[in-house]
Amino acid sequence: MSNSNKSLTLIIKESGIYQCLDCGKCTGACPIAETGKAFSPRLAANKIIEKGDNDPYVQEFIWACLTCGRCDGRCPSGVKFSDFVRMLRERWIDSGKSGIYSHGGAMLSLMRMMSSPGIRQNRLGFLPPEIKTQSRGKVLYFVGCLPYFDVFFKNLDLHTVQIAKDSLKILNHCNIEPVVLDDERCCGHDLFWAGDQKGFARLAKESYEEIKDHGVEEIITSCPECLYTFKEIFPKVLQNFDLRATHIYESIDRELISGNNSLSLKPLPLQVTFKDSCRLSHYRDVSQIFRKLLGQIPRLNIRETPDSEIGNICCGTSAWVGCGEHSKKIQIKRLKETIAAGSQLLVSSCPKCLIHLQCTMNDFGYNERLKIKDAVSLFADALE
Amino acid sequence: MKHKIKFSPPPSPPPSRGRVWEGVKKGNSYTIKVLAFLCNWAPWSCYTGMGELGMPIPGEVNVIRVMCAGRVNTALLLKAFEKGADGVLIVGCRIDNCQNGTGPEVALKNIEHTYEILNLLGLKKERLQFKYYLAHESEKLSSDLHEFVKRIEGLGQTPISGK
Repeated sequence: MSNSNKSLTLIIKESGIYQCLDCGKCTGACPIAETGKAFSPRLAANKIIEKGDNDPYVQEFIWACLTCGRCDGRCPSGVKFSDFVRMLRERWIDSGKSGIYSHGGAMLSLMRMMSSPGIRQNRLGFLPPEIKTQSRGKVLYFVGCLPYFDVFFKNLDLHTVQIAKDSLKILNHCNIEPVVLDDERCCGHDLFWAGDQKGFARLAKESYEEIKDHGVEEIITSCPECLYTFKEIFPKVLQNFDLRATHIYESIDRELISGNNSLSLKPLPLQVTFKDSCRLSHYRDVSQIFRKLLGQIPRLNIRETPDSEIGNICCGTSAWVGCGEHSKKIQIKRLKETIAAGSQLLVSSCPKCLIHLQCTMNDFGYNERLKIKDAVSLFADALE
Repeated sequence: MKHKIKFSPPPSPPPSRGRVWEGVKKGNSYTIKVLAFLCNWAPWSCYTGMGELGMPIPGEVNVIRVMCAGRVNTALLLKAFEKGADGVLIVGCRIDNCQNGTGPEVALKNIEHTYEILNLLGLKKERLQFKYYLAHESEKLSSDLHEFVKRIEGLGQTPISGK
């Protein structure tokens, strides 16, 4: 590991590992450790300090972490553990080794391909004619990877593109005609967390220029990961980044609920449970709005489970890194919890949670007992 | 009558995995890069047969030997395009001649899946193709490789920078 950018000392310093008090709250909070895997962030940190990152335990650890940030939230001394893992992955990739990716790294390949300046995509085939969009304007609706998900995960029969359609329908209802880009590039969240810092920087530059070319000032997105990336990571990578990122829940709240817009919602006689996403739990205000919005739907019975909101657990895989036995255990636990709460519908806020949970539902026969849907789609169903 | 044994020249050594992908320089113009995944069974004997018969292998083609055409999944195909391949060829056995039973069928399924993704990315589907051969069809493989390279030259450089 001679040509790596960051030394271990710097990584340890930046993530604050020496502040660790050895209390073990990180292991207690970790969804992977909960499923029975011998997985201890403290032990990995100690081994890295003692022996460096060539230890087999450490190597397995780096690619098994979900980077969900549950331990970051629990740590009394503020150790940034998910950042620590991300920087170790970066060091790993910089040394020329390949990471451990799910789906053969195909989704990450797609992102790297999108960082080419010359690419002319053909991704807006899903747009129905009745939806009004503009080619230039101040507000952009960021579709994200949804068209690619639908094609790549065709076998799941899960139409994630419906989230984009419903989001645009709601935005039109709010009298917003957003810009939708035919050559929109991925936000690069997964490249960043999978440790491909250079690929991410390239993608971010292209993406920013593409968005700026259309005169955009505000990005509205329905994906928590895109929101997190635009809010937290882009300003760190691009010095001149001046775009505002908003989640669609905030836009709906601003325009429909709090504003003077007339709003009539159909009653939906359903009992639902929420599945928060890891990245959205960084923004408590957004997850509060998410609950407030769906609380407006008449006859919608919301039953919270212990793993909601701040106690949210990951859907089992993030950034297309590693999916295995323990991911499945996490997913089954979540599904069983929802069924035990008596809900017929699991309402998720992230398209990736939809994909991962639907995969487990298909494999383990949960489809008759439970359905899964995105919150935006549920709100659009209620909107007349 | 005594049967005469005609000795063919020894087969040329198959190119190693680390062969440098140089392509053919034609003036200052861009060099096309074609990647061919060759199944170990019939296509690979065609390929060594090409060496035995002294047929030239187009310099634009880089060959990767796989144990079955069905092994080449969507992720590998996308990886090839990500790394800057202008054209990708999967060469398998004939559908009724597969050692493993369903190799060519799986390869065709994977290609169909990849076409949809390439369409979203704005890459022409002509850049990816499946071909099948019987073990003795060296001439056919040779002419098809040349034809494929010519076709990719017509399509030009991929818009993907391959970094």
